[in-house]
Amino acid sequence: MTEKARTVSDLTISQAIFELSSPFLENKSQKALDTLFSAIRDHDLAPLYKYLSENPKTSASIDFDSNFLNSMIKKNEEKLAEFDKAIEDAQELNGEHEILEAMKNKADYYTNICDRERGVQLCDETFERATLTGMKIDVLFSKIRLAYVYADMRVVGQLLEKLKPLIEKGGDWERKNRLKAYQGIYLMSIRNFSGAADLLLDCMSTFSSTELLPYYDVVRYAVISGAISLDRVDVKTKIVDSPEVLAVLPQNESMSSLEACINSLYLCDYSGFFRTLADVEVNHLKCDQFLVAHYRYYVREMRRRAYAQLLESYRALSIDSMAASFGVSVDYIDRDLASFIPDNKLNCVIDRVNGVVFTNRPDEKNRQYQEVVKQGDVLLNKLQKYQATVMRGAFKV
Amino acid sequence: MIDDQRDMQVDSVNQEENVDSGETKQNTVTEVPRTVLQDVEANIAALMQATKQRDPRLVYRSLRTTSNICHRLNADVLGQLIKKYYSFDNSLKNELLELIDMPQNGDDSSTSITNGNGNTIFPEVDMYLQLLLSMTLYYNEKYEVGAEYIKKVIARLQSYDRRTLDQIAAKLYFYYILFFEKCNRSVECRNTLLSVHRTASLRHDSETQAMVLTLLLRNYIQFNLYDQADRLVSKTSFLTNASNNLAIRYQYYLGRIRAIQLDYTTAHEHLVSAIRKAPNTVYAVQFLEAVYKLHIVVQLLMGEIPERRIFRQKSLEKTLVPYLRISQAVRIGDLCAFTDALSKYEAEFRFDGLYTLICRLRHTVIKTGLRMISLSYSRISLRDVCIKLGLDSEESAEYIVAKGIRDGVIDASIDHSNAFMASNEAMDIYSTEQPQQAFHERIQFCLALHNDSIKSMRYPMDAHKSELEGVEEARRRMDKEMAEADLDDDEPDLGEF
Repeated sequence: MTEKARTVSDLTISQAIFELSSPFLENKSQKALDTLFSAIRDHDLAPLYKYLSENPKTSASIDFDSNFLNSMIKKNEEKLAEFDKAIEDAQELNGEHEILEAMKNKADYYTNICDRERGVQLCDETFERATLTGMKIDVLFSKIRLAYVYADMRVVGQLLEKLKPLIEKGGDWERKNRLKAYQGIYLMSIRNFSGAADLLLDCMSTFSSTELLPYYDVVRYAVISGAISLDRVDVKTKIVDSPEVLAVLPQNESMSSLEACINSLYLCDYSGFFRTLADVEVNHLKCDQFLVAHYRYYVREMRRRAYAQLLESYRALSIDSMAASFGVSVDYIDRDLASFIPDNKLNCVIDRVNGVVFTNRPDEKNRQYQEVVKQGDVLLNKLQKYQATVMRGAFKV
Repeated sequence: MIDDQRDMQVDSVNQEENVDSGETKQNTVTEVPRTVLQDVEANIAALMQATKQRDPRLVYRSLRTTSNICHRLNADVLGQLIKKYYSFDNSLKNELLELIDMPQNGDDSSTSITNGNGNTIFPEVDMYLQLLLSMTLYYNEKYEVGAEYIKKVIARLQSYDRRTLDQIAAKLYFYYILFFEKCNRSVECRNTLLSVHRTASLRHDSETQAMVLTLLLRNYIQFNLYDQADRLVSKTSFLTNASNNLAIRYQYYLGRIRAIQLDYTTAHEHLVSAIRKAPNTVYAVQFLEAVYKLHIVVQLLMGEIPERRIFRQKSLEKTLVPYLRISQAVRIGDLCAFTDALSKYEAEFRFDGLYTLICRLRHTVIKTGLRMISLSYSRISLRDVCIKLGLDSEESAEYIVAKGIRDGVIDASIDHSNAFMASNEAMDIYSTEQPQQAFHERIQFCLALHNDSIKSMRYPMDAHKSELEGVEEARRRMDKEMAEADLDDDEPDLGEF
């Protein structure tokens, strides 16, 4: 009774929904529509079709056809009836384990056709009934997938929290790897790039969660997260020289800007870096459902890394030569540097009169002092609150 | 008009802050199916007991549930209570019944049970019922009637001189002011309040004294009489044994006065302690809002940037948005963003009464911008400064830089002939006294916290006696055991012989 799994991954669907519902990605909407419809037609995704036609952001681009919907619903119900029969059979003939297995199969089918409401309900039932940790984990994964399809990141976060202790208790290697991918994507979506990079780079070589997202997307996300969070040495070993990355990036036309961006930063080709960074911004950040919220931060941080890398080698550097090596105007460099320096993100000062940038070393002791004062104040606040409660308690007696 | 609204807001702040939610909820949860009448009766019984034992804590306890009771009270219950407790004085009874629109069916003696003293009533119980009545009037928004009525109550209250009444009296004064504020007649109360404060100080009535003092400050601040408020503060002292809620409110008003007087450091201290001590319950949300708003502005005026955490608090997130915009503008020293935010949220700021304070921030924005420049540039021409800060001319830039240097905002010097500003190298903070002072402040705070905690410990009256008894007992037991041991020792001796 194993149903052929959906060939289009969850994140492809949610990305297509995102492209369809974002007005600034109009040039992609036709392609997204095609992706969605081929998936809907091939796998009878009636709930997804219904969702798209009811969602005010996407309904405009959809020609609603109730016959089409009803035919799909009918097919779904036929399949579901088969599953119900399997469950009944299991109840009559077999033990608890077989019943659960059948229930899980049905839940998987719900996940396949993106039926969030009934899927989550059945998952919860199965979760309550299951005794084996492995089964519980699988059910939770199904729930996370359903949340991912509809890009509900808050729920994904909650479910991952619930999942982690279970995995530690009784997860095999395959499930652990699966968690890495699922969690890596989530961390990236909440701007925790260093956590995401660790997990995604780690799971690249053993990746098997194609139900969530295709392999080249994992690599792409891993490279994007790694580029911003790893230091130079790690970028070299884990990204520039990594066999998994090398196997994917040069093969795909769409990834060429990303590859060029990473390599040019590593090879200190700063003007090339700025150009390719702009391409990355347009092709990979602004049009991605998870990264669009962070693209400003990402680009700014990458620029900072480039400046820091250049200044690292010099004690003093003329603004003119800096502007020339980045291929931008003096004014731009000046403004950009001035926005980083007050926050201690770059260790340098600008002499505008002579047009020179001087680097300086960070002052560790003063930083620690600021830290102590800041954290100490938080602690004191807590103490005071605690005392207020205790005193009110004493007053009550 | 705007003033009006602000009053209302601060009013509700005050009321709600009065409620100690945890306590109220506990009571209602543990003793669920009690009716309002029973609750009131229980409180009255507690009050009578308190009067006999002269124990203010019982009064506190009954007052704490009062606000909850009041929201459940209706005219029927009040009518019953009035008929029961004022049966001895028909005219008073009828007058009260009239207030709550109840029929005065003359002398139905069925309900008139004579209480303890036959034909009189305990002043405490009397005033407590009056308090309930006035709270009900207030919540039913009968302000005009209430104002006239509470005036009479206050007059009667002042004829009593009993220490067990203090807490109830404080509450009554609180509602007295609220009624008059609602009728826009709070100016009339000032003299009464001042004389009450005088009497309360003489009688060591700390609760009333503290309450009236905060009410007076509130009154002055409402009419922008900051000088008078300041003088009042300097001539009086706030008693340390007043209740926590009053202390918090006093701190808030002090913070407000000091902020207006440009003494931001002191204002900051007061506000921080108000925030730290404030109860973190739903009832205090509006008060916290008011304190946080003022605190944010004062912090900005001091040149500090409030933490992002403050703006993220769930209950405050929405109302603090205008202040977030202002803080962001100040943080990056962007004069345009600041002017935009100021004009966009002007109504909100005026509503909160902080508009004048926020207008003072314009200089802070320029100063921050200047500081950013001096951090980023070791040398920069005045023309660039002028462009970056969005000023009118190079000359004004020079003046502002000069002022910044003199005020210690930036550590720099001006080269007038070449028209540039040169900032000095960042100093090692450990070569100054600043860390010492910062740590000193915090140590002082910790010591005060420690002292307060010790002071607030309670020692039950006869606790040491039971301990003594324990010692006594132990000694007796030891004696006994020793005697037995002696006996034991004796026996083998005897055996041997």
